[in-house]
Amino acid sequence: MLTGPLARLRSLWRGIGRRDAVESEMNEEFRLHMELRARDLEKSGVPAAEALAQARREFGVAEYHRDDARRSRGLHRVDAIRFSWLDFKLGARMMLKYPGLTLISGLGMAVGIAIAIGWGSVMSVLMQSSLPLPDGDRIVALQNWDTKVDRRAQARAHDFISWRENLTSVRDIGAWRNVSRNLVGADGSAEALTIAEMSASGFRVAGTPAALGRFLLDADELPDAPPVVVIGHDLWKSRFAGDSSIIGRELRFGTRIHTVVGVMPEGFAFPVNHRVWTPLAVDPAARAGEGPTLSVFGKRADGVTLKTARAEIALLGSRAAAASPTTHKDFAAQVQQFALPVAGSDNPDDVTGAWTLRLLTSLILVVICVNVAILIYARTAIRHGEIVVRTALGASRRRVIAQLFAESLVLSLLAAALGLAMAEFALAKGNVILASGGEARPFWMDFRLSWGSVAYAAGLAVLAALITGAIPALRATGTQLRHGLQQLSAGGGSMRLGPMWTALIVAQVAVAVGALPVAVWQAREFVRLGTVDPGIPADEYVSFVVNMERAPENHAALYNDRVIELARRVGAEPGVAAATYASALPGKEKEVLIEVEPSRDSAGAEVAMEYTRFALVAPGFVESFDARPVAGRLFTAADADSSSGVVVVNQAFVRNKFGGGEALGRRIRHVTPRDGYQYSGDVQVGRWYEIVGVIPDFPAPMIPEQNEAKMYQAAVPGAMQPALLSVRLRDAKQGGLEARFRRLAAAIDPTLQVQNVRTLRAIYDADQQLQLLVGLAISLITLSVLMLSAAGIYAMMSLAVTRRQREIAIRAALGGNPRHILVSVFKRASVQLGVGVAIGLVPIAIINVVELRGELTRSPGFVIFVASIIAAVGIFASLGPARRGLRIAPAEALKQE
Amino acid sequence: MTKQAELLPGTLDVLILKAVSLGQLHGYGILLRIEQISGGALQIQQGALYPALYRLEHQGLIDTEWGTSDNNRRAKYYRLTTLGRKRLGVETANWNRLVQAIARSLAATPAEV
Repeated sequence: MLTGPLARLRSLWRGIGRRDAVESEMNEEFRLHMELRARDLEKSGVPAAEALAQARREFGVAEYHRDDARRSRGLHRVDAIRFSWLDFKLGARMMLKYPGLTLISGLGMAVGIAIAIGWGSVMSVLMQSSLPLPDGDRIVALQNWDTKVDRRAQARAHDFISWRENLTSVRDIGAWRNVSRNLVGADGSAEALTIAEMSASGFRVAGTPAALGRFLLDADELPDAPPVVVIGHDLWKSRFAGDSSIIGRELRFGTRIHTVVGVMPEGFAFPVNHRVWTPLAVDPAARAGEGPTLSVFGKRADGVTLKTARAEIALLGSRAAAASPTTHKDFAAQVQQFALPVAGSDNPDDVTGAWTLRLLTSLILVVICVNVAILIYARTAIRHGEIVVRTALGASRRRVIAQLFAESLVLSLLAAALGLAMAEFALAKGNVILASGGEARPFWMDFRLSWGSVAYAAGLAVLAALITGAIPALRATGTQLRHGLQQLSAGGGSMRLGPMWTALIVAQVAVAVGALPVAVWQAREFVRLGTVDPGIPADEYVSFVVNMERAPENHAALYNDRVIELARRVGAEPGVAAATYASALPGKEKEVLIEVEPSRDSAGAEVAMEYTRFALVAPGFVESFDARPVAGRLFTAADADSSSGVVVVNQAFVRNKFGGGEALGRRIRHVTPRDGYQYSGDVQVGRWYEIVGVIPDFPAPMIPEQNEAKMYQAAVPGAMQPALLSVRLRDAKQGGLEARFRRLAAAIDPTLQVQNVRTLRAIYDADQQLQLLVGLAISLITLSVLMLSAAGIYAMMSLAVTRRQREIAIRAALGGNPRHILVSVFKRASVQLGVGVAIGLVPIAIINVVELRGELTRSPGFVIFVASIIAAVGIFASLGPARRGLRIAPAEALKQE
Repeated sequence: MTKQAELLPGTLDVLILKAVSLGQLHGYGILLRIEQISGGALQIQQGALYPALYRLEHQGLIDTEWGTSDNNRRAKYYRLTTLGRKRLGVETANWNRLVQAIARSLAATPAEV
């Protein structure tokens, strides 16, 4: 059935790809034909000398038959747009001949391509569905989806057991959860490790054998099984120097001793980025909604599609909802490709958002290319005479378009190469920022360019060349060409610039004025956030999370005592000025919903709930950042008692909630939405807290659109869990702090873990570098669009006035006042610019009010800056050609006419 | 001597298919075969044969392979494909129907009207 289409494809491929070989075969075939005919003619009595000549006459012109043969296969269409090296050489020459155009267009397209490629690469990593493991595409995650709030709900033991026992389309179903334990050395040293408590089936799913010993087995999960551990290759190398006799050695994790039974090979980190695995024991009698949260995985059975697996688990999910409506009525059970939930790409809305963003990033390139196309069109207009002559000499329209396309392709390919380099730089920077965030990436995630990215860049280069080359070429070789031929014969040869040209100028000015000030403002905002001084000596602070293994009894009280003791001991260390604790570091407070008294305003209307950022802090925490109260007082030790009922707020809070009025003595209470995640009116309210102090705002905001109103409440570590210890150093350049803190913690309690030790500077840097990167990207786009817009407006207006040079010269020749002539030229230019600016001001006014809350009204400099550049460019573009027109000798102008 | 007949437009393709259905042939051989099976009534303009051959090959109706001609030269031989055989059948049936219809029309007498 496919024979016909396949034969056509093969024939086309041979005709295009092996043109020379096919033509040589044709020649050979034709020669044979003529020789055989000559032989027959000879046999019929024609003299040998004449036979071949007659055979050739009868055969006809071989060239025509060859062309007909190509035409019969539809290849003439391809022939018409065949490129020659000369086209590309001409493209390179054009780039050198117009360096300004090359630079502006090339950079603009490179930025557009870099953004499209960069986001495309990030997206392909985030949407990666297959793991780099044997049968990685069959590894799946099993989860509940809370349809009420449209987000993932973590599975619990009951779900896991139900799925493991009932699902047939997914095999080797297992689960894992992160636990944090101290690996305590014989010398008292401690290293906090994240351990995967994982079902033994995880190793079967991953399909990777152990490098030494064995991996976990189902028997290890039994309640009476001896505790065992499997370690990763890098831990084996770094901690045990690659000791081959490690199997059987005992390791102490907190208070429990585990025997090493295996070492996994290098690079193995399943399920996410783990390097230590212990067996996961699950209570088979667990009831729905009880027990620890788990992440469940499995492998699709042979020959089972994702669709089948999804249908089966959905059925189980609906049964669970019917059996346990209290916990499961809103849950839908799902099977997802394993990597998607880990990357946060399992929400259909997020996926749609990502694709929309991908489309938008590609659209940036299209917008840039349209600008470049206008520039190239202006250049093509200058070269119109050359196109007319070529056409007159027999070049087909397709041939001319192909030549102009090839010229643009040279530029766009160069831009694509530069764009790839920019994207690679940004991705490398992104990897560094992610790494500095403290959490290891999932083992399959690596943001880098792939061959797919290169192909995508090549595709974008072709798209760019189509827009920038083929579209101006189509227009330049359209109906105007006949007119050009007539003009050429009459001694003219220039392209007419109609009302379309005026419309383009006005549109270009409107877009520049309408969009660029916002972009400039945004870029400056990101760069400002990325470089702002936090206002506190961030180098002097080190912080870490304090975790503790769950104690069988009195965990909160024990945790409380341990953290207070650790803070005391750390504070007593040499070189440490203060050690205190909080639920969040300055700048990292969580956002909560509150209600400010009175909850009804004077008219009786209910006052809306408001968001504020909030942290539980130790008395003395605020002081350790040198914050002094601007009104009222700070916390005392007694305020940490849960019954104290006092809070301290910052000045932004007073500005936002009380319009800068009196805050002391006002009352606030926490509001918790009953339906989980978002406020919808049904809320649970807490007790009232009184504001007893106001402190300055710190640190300076480093994240865009962050709520800066903050509220602090004094608390003990037990209320925080986990508490963050914040240590102020006397000397910021001290080494070995991490080991010292860990040793102190392990000495208090071997289960007390010191995690994520980082300076406040490193934490802020991670935020700020991201803002800088975004700011840099926006600046680059804005700059290139501004340059392109300016160049486009210059080219269009300059060309428009150049076309009027002869008219200007004649008017001058006929005695026109040069000043009046210049005024008339500028009047036209000013009208075009004025209309463009007026149109552009409409969207910017809307954006200013709706999106930026009047930010541009407060700083009108951005609009003035862009409008001035555009106006100056327009005026300058008109001035040069108009002056040149005036300089043409009157006699010369009249003679030309 | 057989009187020469004008080749109707579109009939060259079906004649080529018929010629190669009788055995694989090179280009010149196809020309001779058509002359032979038409009793010399049909003569093909020599050069016009090749565009038709390439068109049929492009459509997958005939296939080619290189062989040796009877004068011991490398020659390109054409043979019918399965698709070509089906097409020949369809075209032959169409042709026969057309011929019969035209013949019947031309033989009509006033009495039959």
